[in-house]
Amino acid sequence: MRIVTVALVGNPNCGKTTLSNKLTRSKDSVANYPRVTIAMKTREIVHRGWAIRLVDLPGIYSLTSQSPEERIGRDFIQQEQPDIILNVLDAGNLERSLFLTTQLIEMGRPRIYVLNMIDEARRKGLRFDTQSLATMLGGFIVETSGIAGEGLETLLDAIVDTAEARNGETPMAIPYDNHLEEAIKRVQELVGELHPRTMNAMQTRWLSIKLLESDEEIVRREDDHEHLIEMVRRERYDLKRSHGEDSETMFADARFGFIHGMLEETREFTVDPVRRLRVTRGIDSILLHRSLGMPIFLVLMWLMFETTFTLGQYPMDWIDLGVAWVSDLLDAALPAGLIHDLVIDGIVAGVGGTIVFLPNIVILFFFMAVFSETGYLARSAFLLDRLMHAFGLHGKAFIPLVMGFGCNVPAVMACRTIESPRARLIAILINPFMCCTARLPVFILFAGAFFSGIAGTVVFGMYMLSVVVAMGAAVFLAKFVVRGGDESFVMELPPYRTPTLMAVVFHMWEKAMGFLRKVAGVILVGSIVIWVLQAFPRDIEMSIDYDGRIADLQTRVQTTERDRAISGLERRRKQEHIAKSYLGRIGRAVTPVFEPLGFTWKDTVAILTGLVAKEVVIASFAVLHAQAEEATEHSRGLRQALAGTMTPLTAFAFMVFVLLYSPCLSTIAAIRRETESWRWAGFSVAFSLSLAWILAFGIVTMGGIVS
Amino acid sequence: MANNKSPKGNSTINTLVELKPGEQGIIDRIEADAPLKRRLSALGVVKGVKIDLDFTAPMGDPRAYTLLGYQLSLRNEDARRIILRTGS
Repeated sequence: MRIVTVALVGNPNCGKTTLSNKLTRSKDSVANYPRVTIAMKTREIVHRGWAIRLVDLPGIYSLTSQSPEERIGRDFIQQEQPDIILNVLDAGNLERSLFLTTQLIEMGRPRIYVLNMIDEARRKGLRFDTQSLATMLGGFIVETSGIAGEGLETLLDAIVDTAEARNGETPMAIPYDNHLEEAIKRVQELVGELHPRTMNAMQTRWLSIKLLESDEEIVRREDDHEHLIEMVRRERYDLKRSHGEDSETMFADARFGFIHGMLEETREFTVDPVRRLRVTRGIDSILLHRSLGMPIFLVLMWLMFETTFTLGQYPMDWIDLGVAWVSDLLDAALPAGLIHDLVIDGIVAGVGGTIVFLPNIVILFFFMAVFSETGYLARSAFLLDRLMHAFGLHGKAFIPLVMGFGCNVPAVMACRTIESPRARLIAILINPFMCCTARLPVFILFAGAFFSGIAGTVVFGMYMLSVVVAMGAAVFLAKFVVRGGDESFVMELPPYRTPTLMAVVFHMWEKAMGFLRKVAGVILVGSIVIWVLQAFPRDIEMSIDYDGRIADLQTRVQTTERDRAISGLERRRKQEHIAKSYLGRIGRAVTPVFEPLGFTWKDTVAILTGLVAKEVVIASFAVLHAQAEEATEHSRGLRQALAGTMTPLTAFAFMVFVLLYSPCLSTIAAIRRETESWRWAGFSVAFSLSLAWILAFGIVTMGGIVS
Repeated sequence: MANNKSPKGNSTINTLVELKPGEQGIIDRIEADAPLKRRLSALGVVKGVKIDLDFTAPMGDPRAYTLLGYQLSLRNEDARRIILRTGS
């Protein structure tokens, strides 16, 4: 079969992802929000005997080398030389969409233009003379609607027709001002001499334009041709002197001049342009109202949380029951022994403990999908940018931060909507400081045991502290770790659109699968490792013969006293086993690090197990203090046992430590996935551990001085 | 660099940030560093384009503008670098 490679290029939010989804009927994330497609996706479909390979490039507004997305797009077109460039245009927004087109034209590859969201444009009263447009732009024009599925067959036909024509380069020049053209010609001549036989006229013209526009990357590439660089510098200087503006501006003006002239001839308005944004303006006048905007936003946030945690509770209970059922089933099916323990105490407990969060994630992302599909997500960033800016953060970082109160895993994933890589990284790294619900049981237990009169205030204080630390960390990271310029907040506010069920479901599906696939892998490995550390070595020498004593007791007449004695012995056996297991030994080995904080080896082991998931801290305390298995944060026995082991000051330091220390395994996996680097995941662990230690130490020291 | 010898205090020079709600201005030029300038011009913030102020965020910053039939939000510190045509 003959293969044709088609690169999809277009602005963020032009319906590119919806269109390519419709084309391939695949399941991908789409959103009415800039930059959802971060990596490139390639899919293949077959039409009229051709294998059409669709490459989805990130949504971009231009082809300079300003952002990683733009660079990805440009490098792909230049190096991979796709057979066809499919330029997706928002039909209702052609002035802006076509700017990118003027740059694509100069790169010379054969092109097909898609006037997407044509139904929306028609409702706005726009009509196009596609024949003339096609001539002026040098390629097929296809009117489509990704949502309605209109024009898809025509588009596929256009792709095949273009592929069969095999035109190769489709040269076309955007006409510039005379002085610019003269300068281009002079530079082009020298470029041609410097790159003999390797570049055609189209490529030398493109290079000359980029040099005159002072594109950093291109200038760097030609760096060794001092002669050329000097010439370009002089040309730019002359242009600026004779025109009073720099050449980049002259190029941009000329491009928009070309677009404007073309649209004058080929586009018709049947509705007054002012009325076109009427609906969006109307909704905005309420949602972005100066005094109503914020309260409405807060109510929506509250609704999102309330639903996530109340509605999520039902499926969570079902999953819990399901996991218990599976566990019982396996318990009966597997013969007692190592495999039995590994499967039940290690894998089922660990993985089961994690997938209970799936309902929360699905519901949160349902809201996120609806917010982004309707266009409200961009508005929320708009509302909050001023506040976030004070901490060097982007407006879009707010929602992920609030989501962090629920669970850091989806929150870290939600940072994806932040366009600039630096701002995204900072938002990801500060997220684990937000106090997720898994830490709440620990606080409830400790506050109840040590600060019973003011427990509520102490827990609330933990939440406040988490916000303060997250904001402080943002300032610190921006200043010392992830340095770089402050991002400008230049963001398109897409018109309000009714979300399609398909897009919302795809969005949720993708997030849920991502969570299950990647995170469950890490959880699986982590649970096994913790279990192995707890279970080995097998031949531990016990201080007393528990088994013998229990067997001995069991021969006696059954009384409640006897049963209590047996379970007491069983708990002590478990306790001693943990103490002497590898985990206990590691705990003891690490204890010196925590000694300045006043933590014992038991606290240390609890902290270590909490790395898997913060809730585990409580389960570990229960085992370590030889409490009944079903100890919860409300169990009185555990509270009393704890109260004896720490001073309130140490307990407070411990709470602060648990609040801040290392993200849990799932979050580490999410950070690794979103930053695409183990380095940042490792940094996050090291950074939060040191911060937690320093703060806890500070509390213990200060408290010691005061008392 | 692009300082067009405009003496300070010249009352005829207006920047985008001075636009009142419902008012329309015409863009004359951008006086900013190259990256911001490029970003803005890729979004259609170029000479001769009409621009309206739509909304102001609760704390006065950023603001939402309409140009070329779509909405763009800008921080005031960036809007201050966009010079409007005088007269009209």
